[in-house]
Amino acid sequence: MNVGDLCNRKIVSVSASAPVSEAAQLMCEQRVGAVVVTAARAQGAMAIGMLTDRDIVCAQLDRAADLSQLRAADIMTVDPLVLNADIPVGEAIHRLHDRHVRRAPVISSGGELVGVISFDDLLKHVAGNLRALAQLADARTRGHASYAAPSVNLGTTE
Amino acid sequence: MKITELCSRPVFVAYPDQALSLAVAEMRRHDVGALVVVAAGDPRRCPLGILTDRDVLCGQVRQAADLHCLTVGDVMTRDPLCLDAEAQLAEAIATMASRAVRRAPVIDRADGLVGIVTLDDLLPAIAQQLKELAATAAPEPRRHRRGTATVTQPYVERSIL
Repeated sequence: MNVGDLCNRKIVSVSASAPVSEAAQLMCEQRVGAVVVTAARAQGAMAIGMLTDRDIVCAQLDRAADLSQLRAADIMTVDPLVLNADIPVGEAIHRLHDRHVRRAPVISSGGELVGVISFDDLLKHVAGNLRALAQLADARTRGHASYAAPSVNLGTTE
Repeated sequence: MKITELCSRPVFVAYPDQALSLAVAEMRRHDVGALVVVAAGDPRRCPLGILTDRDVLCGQVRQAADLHCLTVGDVMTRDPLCLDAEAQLAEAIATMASRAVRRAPVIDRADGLVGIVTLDDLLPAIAQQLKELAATAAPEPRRHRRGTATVTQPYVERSIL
């Protein structure tokens, strides 16, 4: 399973020059805690930063500015971790862990922004694997029970 | 495993009439994503609400007002889901999932604030259980197996679960 199979293809993004109020509006409407900040390039939109609800709130405090006075590029986290869609999920977990981030934009081999992968996506994936493993154990236990059944029946009838 | 063993303490609080900017400064100072809102002067600190980064942001958008003009009470989420400190891990997860919340104040029998628990606190507890389970399933060290000289009974596969 690769990152591209798992990531959320619905990208919530703002351009670097957008006022932070636009990002805030988007986050509240879409019920997300972060947006990708993009810049237009010849090959399409490129992820140049990430902006979280906390970044915005902290910037407001630091700069004593209201939301319309700030631009996304002023307060975003620059040089975000960007993952290729074709790397395995396990590697994505390592990379997020190494950078201490909970989400990362995902790009195609051609450099096009194709989605975002988050802690929640990865947790659901790992939990799904675990559930499948539990089902396997359950099937195995039931298999044993069916083997055991004849001897139990013999014991009770004799 | 009980929630009281997993929740974060001390828990940081805010008050409904407090300036929102002061509460945000408090969140930042302690590097936490949420404060539990309690009535000023309440010795038991019964939770009245919860205040997260998202509440602060969306409260401003909703009210078309700036952080510096609002109070905690204007934007907090009221009547938060509270978990009993004695609740077990599985019960807490089910309760949080039913209300779709990622964090919840933890209270004692008298509704007094004990701590706060988040999805991030619950995951390591489950990971630890898994780690121990995986260790149980791992092959035993050689020295434990060396004594088995004669097999007198049919081999019975050991179930790990």
